[in-house]
Amino acid sequence: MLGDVVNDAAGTPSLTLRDLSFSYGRRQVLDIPDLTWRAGPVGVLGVNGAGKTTLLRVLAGIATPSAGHLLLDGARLESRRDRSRYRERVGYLPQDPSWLPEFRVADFVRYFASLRLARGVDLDMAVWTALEAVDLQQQAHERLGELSGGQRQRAFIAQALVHDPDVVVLDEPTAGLDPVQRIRVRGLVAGLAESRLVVVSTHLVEDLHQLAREITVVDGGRALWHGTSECLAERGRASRSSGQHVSTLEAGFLDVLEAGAGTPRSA
Amino acid sequence: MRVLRSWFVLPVTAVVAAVSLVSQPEARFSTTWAVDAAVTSLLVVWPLSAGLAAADAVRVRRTGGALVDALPAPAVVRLLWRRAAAAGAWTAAGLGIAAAGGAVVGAAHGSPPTLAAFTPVAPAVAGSFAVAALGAALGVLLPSWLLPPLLAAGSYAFLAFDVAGAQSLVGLVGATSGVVLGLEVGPVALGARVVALSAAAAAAAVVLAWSATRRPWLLAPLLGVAVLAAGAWALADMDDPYGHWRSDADWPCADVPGAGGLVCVPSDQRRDVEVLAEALSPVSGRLTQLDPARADQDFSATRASRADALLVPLPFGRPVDEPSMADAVAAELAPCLRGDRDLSAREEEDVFAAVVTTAWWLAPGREQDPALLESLGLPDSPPTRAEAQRAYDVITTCR
Repeated sequence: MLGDVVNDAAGTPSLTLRDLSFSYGRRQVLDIPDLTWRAGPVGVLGVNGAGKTTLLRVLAGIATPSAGHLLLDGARLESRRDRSRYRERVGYLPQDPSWLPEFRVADFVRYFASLRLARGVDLDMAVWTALEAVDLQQQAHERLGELSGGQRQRAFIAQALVHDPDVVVLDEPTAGLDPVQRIRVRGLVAGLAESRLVVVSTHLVEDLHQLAREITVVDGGRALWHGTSECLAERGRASRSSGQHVSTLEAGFLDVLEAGAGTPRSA
Repeated sequence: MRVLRSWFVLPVTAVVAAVSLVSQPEARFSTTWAVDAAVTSLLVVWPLSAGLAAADAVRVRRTGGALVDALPAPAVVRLLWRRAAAAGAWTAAGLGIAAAGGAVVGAAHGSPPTLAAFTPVAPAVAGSFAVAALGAALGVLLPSWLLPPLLAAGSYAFLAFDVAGAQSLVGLVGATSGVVLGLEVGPVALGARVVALSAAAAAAAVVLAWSATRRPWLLAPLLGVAVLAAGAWALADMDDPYGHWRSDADWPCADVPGAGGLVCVPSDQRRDVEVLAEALSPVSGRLTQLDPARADQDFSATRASRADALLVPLPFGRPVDEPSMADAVAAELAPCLRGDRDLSAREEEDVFAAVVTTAWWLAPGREQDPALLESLGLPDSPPTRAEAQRAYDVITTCR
């Protein structure tokens, strides 16, 4: 296992990455020896180009690992059918989500509900529950193209929630949002994580303190460190970066990057 | 669905209407004409439908991107069929409206629609869905904006041109001849061909839909092409479209008054032939005055049977009257006008003048064009019996 502290709570769902790598052609962009996340909010922290999006695409079931395994609740995803079934249990917010702008919010969420949910499921209820979760009931009949950045982001999160997934993968959900909207999305993520595994990627360190109980630091496609946010802050306080106009969490992050630079490392 | 708004029904209807107006002028305003035009228009409508469905799928795939990628396989299939259904529905609606409009026009012109005549419409509608599904599947698989125009053009080429060296597929699908009864491909035959093409498109769509959920990017187009080629081969193998498709039951024979015997025609054209026979009867009577040996002969216009390929054009949609019958019979009596003899320009003119004279004798009440008479050197009064007899001898002996 990576990191200083591992969450030993026997929560489900859990995701395990085992000797997992991903390559574009001959260029390996992801290499994670062993990592397990359990129910709750998990942050993936890294600089731009660190491999966060690739990692989250693997977690969303879009990118198939070049080697190694992804395990859901301890079960390997062996076949295409396994991966398809896995995607049924995952909700995904891509980094720059887009959909036909003429769709109204409720229609958009309903469309994905009708694609994902089995016949007989009350679609109206599912849509309304998802909109309620992201607090977008008032904007249900507005078109996607007419929403503000934060509202739009929440509409796409509603799409990711409409089938009540066990695992929610959010790629940079707060990117480009103003402080008020960021606070709102952070609150939303915290609420989601009460009963699910929510994996959130960001390069904004300050978001993670509120967002995630556990943090995985990624750089150069490698998971350098995994532990609680408190542990990362503690590491920051002890590091030489501490006090130089950076928060303790940021100092801890910088320290992890510095320690991991150039050398593959299991913490 | 957002791309394919309900107005798509308008261009499809317009295409069918345009095809109707330029096709089969001899058969215009009959039910056969309406159905044939609707089916023939598939040549354009199906490529349109495939291209539009592909454009819709490409837009969804490119705009939705990762959202679509993250869907489980059943959801991808649902997405695909839903996009195809939208394109297929509006295509089908356009076809249905056009065919129904044609039927109304046909009924108003004395050609009441029959259920059998509309046999090809149902598979054409089903085929529209299949073709749209094919477009949608390809659009999801290959989300490039180049795909829709290429697919539409490729579909057109596939349908229009000789693929397997036998006959153009559109010839099999829609090219029926309303001009000649004996060469008529009946509605059942037409429907069967549309079913065959639709099945090929549907099979390709299913293969592509299946592969869309598994992403063997190279394999899917190859399989699609293979299925389409198989469909083309199966259709091209039907090298005698006029002989095999129509069963005897579809081609009943009956004694039609004035026809001089049994008349064997497609059941939906029975009424046309009855009118025809009625107009032909006095013409036939006057002909026997010129040649009693022809008293027992039925002319091809009234004996359109399976064995006959040489038949008189049926003037669908125009008044069937004595003059037109007289023209048809006189023309049929002249073997040299059918290309059997090499005639000099002078001889050809003489034969043509004899045909005009004979036709005038057969229908003496007709009005003749003075300019035509003058150009042929004919008098401007109806021919006498002796003049008609000489003309008859000329056209039957070509001398």
